[in-house]
Amino acid sequence: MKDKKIKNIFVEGPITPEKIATSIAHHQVKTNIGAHDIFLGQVRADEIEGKTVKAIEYTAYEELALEKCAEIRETAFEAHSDLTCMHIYHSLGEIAAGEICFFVFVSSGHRKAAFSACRDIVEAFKKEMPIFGKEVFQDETHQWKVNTAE
Amino acid sequence: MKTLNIKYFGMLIEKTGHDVESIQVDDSLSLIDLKNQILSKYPLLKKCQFQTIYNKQHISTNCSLEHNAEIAFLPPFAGG
Repeated sequence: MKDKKIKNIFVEGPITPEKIATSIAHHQVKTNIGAHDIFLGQVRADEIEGKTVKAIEYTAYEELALEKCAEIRETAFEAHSDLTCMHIYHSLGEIAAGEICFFVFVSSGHRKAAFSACRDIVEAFKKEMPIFGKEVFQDETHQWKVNTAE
Repeated sequence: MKTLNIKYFGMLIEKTGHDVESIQVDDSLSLIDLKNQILSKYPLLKKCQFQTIYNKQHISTNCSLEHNAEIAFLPPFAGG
């Protein structure tokens, strides 16, 4: 495998709607793009045994995560030749229910590559990225989140 | 003797009380020996599901350990 370009994907705190809007605006000069697809992961206020999640505190094995993410990017570019660009961000630290913790933004000449690559990236990310989530309840107790196939 | 750098993440930090630790071990110690040593040191880990990463590579079998190697124990993932 050729040298992978390692990009930082981690953002301290929530991903703001302004960051998402700015990212979209930055693509207006790239006029070979005809389709964008965006996935946003939002912290859900799950109710578990009578307690409500108020936030998730994210940590990661960052060095390994960045290598894994570079592999996920490369796999997506190899699988979808029409892809133009791809941006992936994930939060670290405490993210309150309702805030955005994950932002995937892919662009391509036509819609099919964008739809398909976005889905592939999100699924691979959830399965392969060494990111850990502590679900903090309103009474300050916590449990550890585990990703499911849903 | 050789030095190993151990990293714990997520719930494993709570179970061991450490996020990183540097340990001195016998030269002949293998990865499985190390895991057994860690499980006896931190019995609470026996109830945890985790995977082992050796120098940033996923290892599901046994291997020998080099001086200054980094071994990370990772609980289930929750990103996204």
